Amino acid sequence: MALPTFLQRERNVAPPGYSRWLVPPAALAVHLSIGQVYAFSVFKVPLSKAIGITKQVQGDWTQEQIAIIFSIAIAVLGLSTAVFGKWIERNGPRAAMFFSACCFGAGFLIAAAGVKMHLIWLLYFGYGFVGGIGLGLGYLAPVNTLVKWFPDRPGLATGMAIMGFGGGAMIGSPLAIRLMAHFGAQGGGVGAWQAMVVMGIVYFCFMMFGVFTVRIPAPDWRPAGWTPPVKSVGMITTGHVLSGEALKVPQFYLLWLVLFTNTTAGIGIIEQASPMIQEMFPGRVLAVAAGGFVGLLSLFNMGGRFFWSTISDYLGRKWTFMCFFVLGVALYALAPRAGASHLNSVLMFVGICCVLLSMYGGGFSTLPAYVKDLFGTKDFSAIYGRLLTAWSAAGIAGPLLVNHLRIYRKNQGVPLADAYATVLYVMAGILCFGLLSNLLVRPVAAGHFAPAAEPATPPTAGGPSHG
Amino acid sequence: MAETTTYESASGPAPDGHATSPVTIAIAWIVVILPAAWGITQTIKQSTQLFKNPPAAVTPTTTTTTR
Repeated sequence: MALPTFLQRERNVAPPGYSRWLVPPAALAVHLSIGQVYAFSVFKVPLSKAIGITKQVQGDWTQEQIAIIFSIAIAVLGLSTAVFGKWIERNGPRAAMFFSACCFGAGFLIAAAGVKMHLIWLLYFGYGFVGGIGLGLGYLAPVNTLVKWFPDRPGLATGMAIMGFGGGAMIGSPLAIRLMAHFGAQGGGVGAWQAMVVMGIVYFCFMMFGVFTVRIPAPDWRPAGWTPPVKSVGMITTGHVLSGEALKVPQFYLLWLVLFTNTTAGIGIIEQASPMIQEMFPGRVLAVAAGGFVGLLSLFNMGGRFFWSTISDYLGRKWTFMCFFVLGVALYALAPRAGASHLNSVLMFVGICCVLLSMYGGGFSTLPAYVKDLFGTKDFSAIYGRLLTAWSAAGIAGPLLVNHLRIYRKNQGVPLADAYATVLYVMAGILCFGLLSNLLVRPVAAGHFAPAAEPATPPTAGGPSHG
Repeated sequence: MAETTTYESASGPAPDGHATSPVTIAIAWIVVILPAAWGITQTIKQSTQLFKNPPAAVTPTTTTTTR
């Protein structure tokens, strides 16, 4: 099916004079919007009282039923990046971001209908499935575009966009709370479906700003004063590996493991942050303060995305990931010592978790540049999209592991404050696998690169080269 | 091989087009920075709760008045 003219790739090539500094705001508009998914938990309690309003009554959804919505969204995110990666490469970021906005906005509206009619499957389908496709398209397209606009500073560029995804929850969470309070006070029940309608429309409009701002560089464009290296240096290649070929090299699977281990360890903390700190410091950290802890982790998760990926432009991607794993193992092993039964230091525990979360975020933002270094940019979306399935897998494995280990230790009679020690030691062990995988990453062998004359993406045939 | 064009506007106007205005770039950044700054402010306010002392446990108080 042909795309509308304004979405066609060849119509979106930047004209001469277009500043590449317009691309990060376009990317941020999309990532700040779809990052709302991390704040979905603010709907959990209101949705569980959709009928009873002030308390849960017969027929209300359980929190476990509601939690599935988030899991579906994250799983579909990872899968859709793998499925649509080549499509994004072929059709360009504007089309991908447009359909992302449509899916993400529509997901909210369908979910709102589900809340209004009290049909949980509509929430699964709407926010989970349709919204999840919006997440995948919206996550991948801006990152892919920034890598091409900033060949001289890929870490900085992707860090800016992916920082937005981490920061999206900081807007989504207070926005949803205020909207629900507003509509709830006007007699609109818990105010959840009305909030979802407003958020669907607002996010759609905000993402459209990104859609109409983004451009792709002309094939022969390069930053002023920057000379592309004529031959591969260390881990940074000048060639391009096509997506089919990438699946045949070990580097792809090693990077998959690197992302999987780093994400599994971090997501375990994120998912359990609030109860974890309350149970590790019983009586000392209460629910409100635990909410503050979650907020602080979000800040470091976001800041780490920018900080670490920028650092990686100087350190190199491999050494940046080495920092994550070496420091991560040490900090996960040290964290239990801060607990109530040892040093009883909230400050130390919070500090350790903040650094760990910064590295969790840093893993996401450094990976695109790592992929670009190893595989080139021609089939970037397809390769990177497939790698993001590691995120889906970690999204399931991390929380499962943390919850099961915690309950297993608790059932053995271990006090809750100490049960987390096992969890944290296991996370340190998982990071050791990541460290090993990262150590094994070597430059891709020359035989796997596409011949220089063979284009991996369709040329902008027939279209004007500058818009 | 195609001739390489280097029309990065940061270093001045493009040879055959008009460079993006710095005002346009500033507006684009403001559009995304404003909501992000609001979100960060809200989060920082929430985070300060962590460093506030928990309310003291309510214990029955006995007032002994010695006159």
